[in-house]
Amino acid sequence: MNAPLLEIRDLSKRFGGFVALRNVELAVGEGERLGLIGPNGSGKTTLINCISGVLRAEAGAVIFAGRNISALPAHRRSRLGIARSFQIPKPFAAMTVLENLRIPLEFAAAPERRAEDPVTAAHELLGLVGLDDKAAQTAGLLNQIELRKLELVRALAAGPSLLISDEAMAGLSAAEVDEILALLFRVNEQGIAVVMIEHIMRAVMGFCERIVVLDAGAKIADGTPDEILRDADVERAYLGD
Amino acid sequence: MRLGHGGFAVAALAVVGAGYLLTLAIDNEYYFFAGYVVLQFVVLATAWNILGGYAGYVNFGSAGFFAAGAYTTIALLKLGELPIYLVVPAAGLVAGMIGLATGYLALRLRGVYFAIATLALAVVLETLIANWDFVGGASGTFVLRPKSVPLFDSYVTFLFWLMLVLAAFAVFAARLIERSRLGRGLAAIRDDEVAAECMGVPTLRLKLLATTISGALMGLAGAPFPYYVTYIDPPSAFSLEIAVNAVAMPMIGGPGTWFGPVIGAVLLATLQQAATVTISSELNLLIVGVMLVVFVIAAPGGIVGLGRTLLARMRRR
Repeated sequence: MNAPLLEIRDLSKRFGGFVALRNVELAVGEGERLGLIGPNGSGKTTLINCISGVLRAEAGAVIFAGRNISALPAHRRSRLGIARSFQIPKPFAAMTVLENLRIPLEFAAAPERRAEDPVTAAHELLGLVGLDDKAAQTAGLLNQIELRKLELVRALAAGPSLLISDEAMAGLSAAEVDEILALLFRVNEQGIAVVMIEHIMRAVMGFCERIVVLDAGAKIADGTPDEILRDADVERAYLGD
Repeated sequence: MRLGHGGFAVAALAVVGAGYLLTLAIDNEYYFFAGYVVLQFVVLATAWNILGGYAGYVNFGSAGFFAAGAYTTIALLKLGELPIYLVVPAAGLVAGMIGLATGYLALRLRGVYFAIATLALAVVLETLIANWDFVGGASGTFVLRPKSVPLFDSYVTFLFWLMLVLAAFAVFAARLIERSRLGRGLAAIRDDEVAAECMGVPTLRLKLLATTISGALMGLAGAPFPYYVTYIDPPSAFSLEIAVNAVAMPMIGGPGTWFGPVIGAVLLATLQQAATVTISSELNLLIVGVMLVVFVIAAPGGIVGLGRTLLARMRRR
């Protein structure tokens, strides 16, 4: 097997006395579809905050594309190809939808992509998710599904090699979940690895090639969806003894 | 009708030229005496807007930067008879450096904590100046204006024109920033700093740039102040009026746009000057206070925001 795209080594993160992550090891291959699940408060979002650089871990290392990025600020990591969406969409609310995409296009994209006309590139991206007719609208006025789509397409704008999707489907209808899933499959077909954090099991099981389960800050399982379903530790974490 | 930066520069120069012609055409010196104050607030409001309006970081310590500019002038004049066109840029430089230092110290704070830190900075600076005898200390110091300036009728008309040049420069710089990658990055920080950082925006660096530029422009606004008042002491340079106006004028005019602070400053400062002459100078802060409360509650986008809403409504009909 080739060297993984992303490698987490012995990562620990605490908030005061609370240990949010305990010696977590994780690898994501290039173009892989990985699910990250676990009960509420198990450390999923903390883990992706440590990967994207919003938080720094106290111990352990984050290796991306063969490079230790543990000390890099988030904006540098985004330029290396790590993109993420937020659990609660964080649009640039006072800007138009188009301007929202201009930010990653101008700041995070690789230099050769940055040289292109950002307005044209933004329109193309919006077309991908059917938001092009909303380009001139203020992002703060979008509805839930539109916000989720903007959140994802904005994460994709810089041309990442890894997309971390943090509960992109929470609160959406079944049809809307399918729409987002189809989008993520299309993203993955372009060779972009996707780490999906999700509580909607239908989506996780249908999408992911491999699933990692966190419980109380520690990794308790790592395997194919079928293996995870049969795992006794996972059952205990979700349902108790 | 979209004016490019070159076109805007020409327009700004035309305003500066027209201002010079006004100093020749109008005899009554009072208009320039009052006009100076209005323009000074155009510079201050524009400077505040670069950090407060574009990046969303509220600076309550504007008077500190203004006074840093004014006292740089004093310090340089005490050292030797330096010409004013060297003193003013030096004052901008010093205030810009203080802005950068403030950024390093305070920008890891967010929201209201940053605002409190800037307020504290102004208090610290005032205490330092009040205890620095070289620049007059707490008892203040006098400045002797040169007897005459070439091309101008009086020193007051010259100071008016100088402030007009600074105002044109400040507004041009603000407009340039607003329409640049830097301006878009600052707007992203204002809307959501964590998301901005994750989208590749080097938030700390951009915020430091904004505090530096904003501080430097405030220092420029303060640099000619000692020449204008001829007697300066810490309470006059660090006055509450400056700190309040610097926040209120962009907020009332329309924060986050280059013309909002210009509208706010021209409107409020003119009103204040008129009130000073006709009623009393004590009324100034009351006017600003009442208007600020009304606007923050009823029209958070300021006059510019109000205008845009009305325009959009008219178009829909």
